[in-house]
Amino acid sequence: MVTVTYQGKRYAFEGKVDGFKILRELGLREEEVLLVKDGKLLPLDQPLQRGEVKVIPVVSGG
Amino acid sequence: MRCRMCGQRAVIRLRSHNIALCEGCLQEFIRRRVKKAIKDYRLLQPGERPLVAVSGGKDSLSVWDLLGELGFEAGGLYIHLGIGDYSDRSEEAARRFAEARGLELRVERVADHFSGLGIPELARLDRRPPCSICGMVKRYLMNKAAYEGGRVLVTGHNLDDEVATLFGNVLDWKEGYLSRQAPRLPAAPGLAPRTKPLVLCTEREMAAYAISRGIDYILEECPFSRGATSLFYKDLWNQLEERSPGAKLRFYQNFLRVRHLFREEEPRLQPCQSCGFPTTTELCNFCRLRDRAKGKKGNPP
Repeated sequence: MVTVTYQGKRYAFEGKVDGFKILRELGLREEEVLLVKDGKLLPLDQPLQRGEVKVIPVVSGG
Repeated sequence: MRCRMCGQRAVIRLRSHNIALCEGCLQEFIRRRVKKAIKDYRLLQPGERPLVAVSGGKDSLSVWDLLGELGFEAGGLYIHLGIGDYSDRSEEAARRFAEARGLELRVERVADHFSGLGIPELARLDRRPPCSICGMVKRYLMNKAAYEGGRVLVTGHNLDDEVATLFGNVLDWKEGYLSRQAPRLPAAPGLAPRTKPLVLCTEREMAAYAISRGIDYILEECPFSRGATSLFYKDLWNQLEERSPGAKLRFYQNFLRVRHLFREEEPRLQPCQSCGFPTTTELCNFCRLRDRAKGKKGNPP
């Protein structure tokens, strides 16, 4: 199972998943976020079956 | 996905440049973008000493890191705004970064200038939005520190910041603002030169750079930024960028080519009667607010 953390909430993904699918499911655009696993940038096309992924928003300021 | 530069496994694709990059080549790519901005827009001249205004966020800490990588002797300036725990956590991130690299960080506290009041209290006192007070106070303190230290003020404004500002100014055709939006603003009496070395790098590229360099930046946003118009514009531009990769870069670079067409009469600046820094009125906004704040928190006037 892949656990995804985004804005304080956790989402669980069963089976094979990649970054593109995570973005689609969470309704996010590629330009808005980065995915990080074990402190490293995660390529969106990398297939995952387990582990913890953090979604890092990149838009800042006001 | 393979790295365009070295063929290794790529960690990120940059659609606006039609490339994918591994971690090491991403860092090199960003260094080259910053070098190009510095060269093309003459952002820093030989012998100039940068003072980086740092907020603890990804952009300002990354530009400080990049200037060091490119051989500049850059110092840092952190302005503690007095916005609750958010300001304390931001200061901590800036301090951690500086200490880990043996860099000089100067800290200014808004409360030290305004009888113990921070931005939220000053906004209430002056009946103005916090972002308006904050912008004015930060501009004053950043300029003062850079000017008195004989430094070039460097800020971490990235391409997305510049595009959002430009878009807002174009919507209303604010010719004066358009004429003054530039990657480098020159020195003038009482004003330090200001530069933005990240103008050719997107927000996402800078976040990726910061993560890949292990920069421990603060992810938390200023509580007053919620619902800001600039965030709405950034959202619109990210939609546009998705449909048309490179749109942000084209919009900004093409604007710079025609910027000279926008002209506005220069405001007549005079030295503030209290502090001597340039202002359009007898007393500058900073000194006027400082006088209003005197005695408000039971501190001596």
